[in-house]
Amino acid sequence: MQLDFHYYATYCAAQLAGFDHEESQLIAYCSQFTDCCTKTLLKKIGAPGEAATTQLQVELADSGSDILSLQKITRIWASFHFLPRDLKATRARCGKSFLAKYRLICGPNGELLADTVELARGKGIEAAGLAMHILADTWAHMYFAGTPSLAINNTNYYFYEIVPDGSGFSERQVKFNHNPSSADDLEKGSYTNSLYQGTENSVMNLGHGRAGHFPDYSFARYRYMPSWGEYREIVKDNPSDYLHAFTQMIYALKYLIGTNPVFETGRYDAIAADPWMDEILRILRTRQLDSSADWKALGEKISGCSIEDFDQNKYLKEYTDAPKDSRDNTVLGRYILAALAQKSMVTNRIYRSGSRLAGISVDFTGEGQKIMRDFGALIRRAQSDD
Amino acid sequence: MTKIGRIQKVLGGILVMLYGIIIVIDNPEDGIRIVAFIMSLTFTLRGIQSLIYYLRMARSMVGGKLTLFRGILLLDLGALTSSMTEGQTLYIVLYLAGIHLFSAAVDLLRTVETLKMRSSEWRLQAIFCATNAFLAVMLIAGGLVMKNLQIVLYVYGAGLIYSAILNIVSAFRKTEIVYIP
Repeated sequence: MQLDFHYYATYCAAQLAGFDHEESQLIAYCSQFTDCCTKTLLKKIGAPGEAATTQLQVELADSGSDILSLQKITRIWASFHFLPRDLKATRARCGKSFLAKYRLICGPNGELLADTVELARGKGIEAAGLAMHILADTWAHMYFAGTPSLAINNTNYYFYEIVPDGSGFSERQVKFNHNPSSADDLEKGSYTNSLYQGTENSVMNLGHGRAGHFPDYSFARYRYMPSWGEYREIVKDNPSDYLHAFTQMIYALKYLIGTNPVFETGRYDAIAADPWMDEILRILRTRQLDSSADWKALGEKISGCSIEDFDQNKYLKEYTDAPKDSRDNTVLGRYILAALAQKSMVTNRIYRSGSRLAGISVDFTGEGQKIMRDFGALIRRAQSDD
Repeated sequence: MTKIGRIQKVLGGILVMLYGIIIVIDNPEDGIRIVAFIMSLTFTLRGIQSLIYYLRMARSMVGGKLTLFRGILLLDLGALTSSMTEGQTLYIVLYLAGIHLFSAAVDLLRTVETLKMRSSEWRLQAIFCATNAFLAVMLIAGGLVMKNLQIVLYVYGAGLIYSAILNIVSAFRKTEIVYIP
């Protein structure tokens, strides 16, 4: 997903869930900031690098293919962008190494999603925004895993776009190219993807890199053969999936604000979205590279307020100007705590499933544990909660 | 490319360069045998690597059989090349020429593919293709036409040194990465 959905559509969902304009903007900001919060940025402002929720291309390029680098990549991408659907998934006739990666395949309505939303409850607006990013991505990044893997994430020539044609649909093979400077061409059906690398752990095989930005477009409908799929084809209908993501965000946000008593997976709040459904469907189905203007207009219609453009640096100064011992009370401070908690939770779940792909995890609330310095803030919070 | 990756590439280049120098200064018969031995070892190790990857991961992925076939083919090539180290040097020269012609054809296909993908990598691929084709032609010309093993080894060693320099240069190139988060 891109800024249009993570920022503007998230703002709309927050409005429909009952948050006021300022809160909705903050939720939207924190949701989109998840695509900006790199270790480079955090180090620049003196924040703990372990709270990074994404990696710059150059950071990825500088990552090695050694086990520690791969675990670091997996912790970030599996925790925030490719939340695993089923860490207990089984599959016949496959090796242990394959199964460990197979279990990291992202998808909606998994146990970890419920844990993510639960973790955000009572932790402030910032944690809610972060959770909405993760929730939305489970729909867009379905069938790809947040760890470098040729065996899981590769795609091949069998990749067809299903294009609306009059009253029906037609199909055409997607033309992928590797030129980073060329924009995706919707008319010609030509999209940029990452270069084929036959090495299992190449960063080119991370997430949906081999399918390019295509899964991030709300209008996209396609069928393809995922590398892990035993030669079975998958049909992906993004307008439908993105609508599920939108209405699930409303449902989850209503839980976080206290309107809904519980959060259960597989439930959506289509009733709240119903008055705007025609407009939402129109935006989701419109073939365009960026739907920001449309979502922004809808958000402003819903709230009657003007929505600020996303500014990544908006809260950096508040954080750097605050005394070190009170930084946890700033917007970024709370966001960083939420990110650390989320990463810790997902790493722990993956570790407990028997996989070392995200590293070794310790219970930070346990006694006598030697833990990483960056997670000290979580211990302090846990102790103050007690 | 990672810093470790760059160091590996530079070290690999230096090793190939040393290998090139050794076969140039060694006596022709031994030089040819060293070439065949190194090629045999490389094919065998890569074959084993492919087979292990097939058993651990690729057997469960779409198109994974190709990894199995590649592993078997490389092991076969390794065994075949190893048997050549004890044979007549003429056959070794012919065999090496065949291998380089095959590599040139593969590089040509890669060049065409990268050109189609509009990636700037095609220039480097084209240079690899030309180097392999040149080596094959020189092996045939020196070994079969002129029947002079020393010339073959000079040309072959020069080709290896050139290839090593290219490898070292490519380690310092700016990394172009397309990753879609």
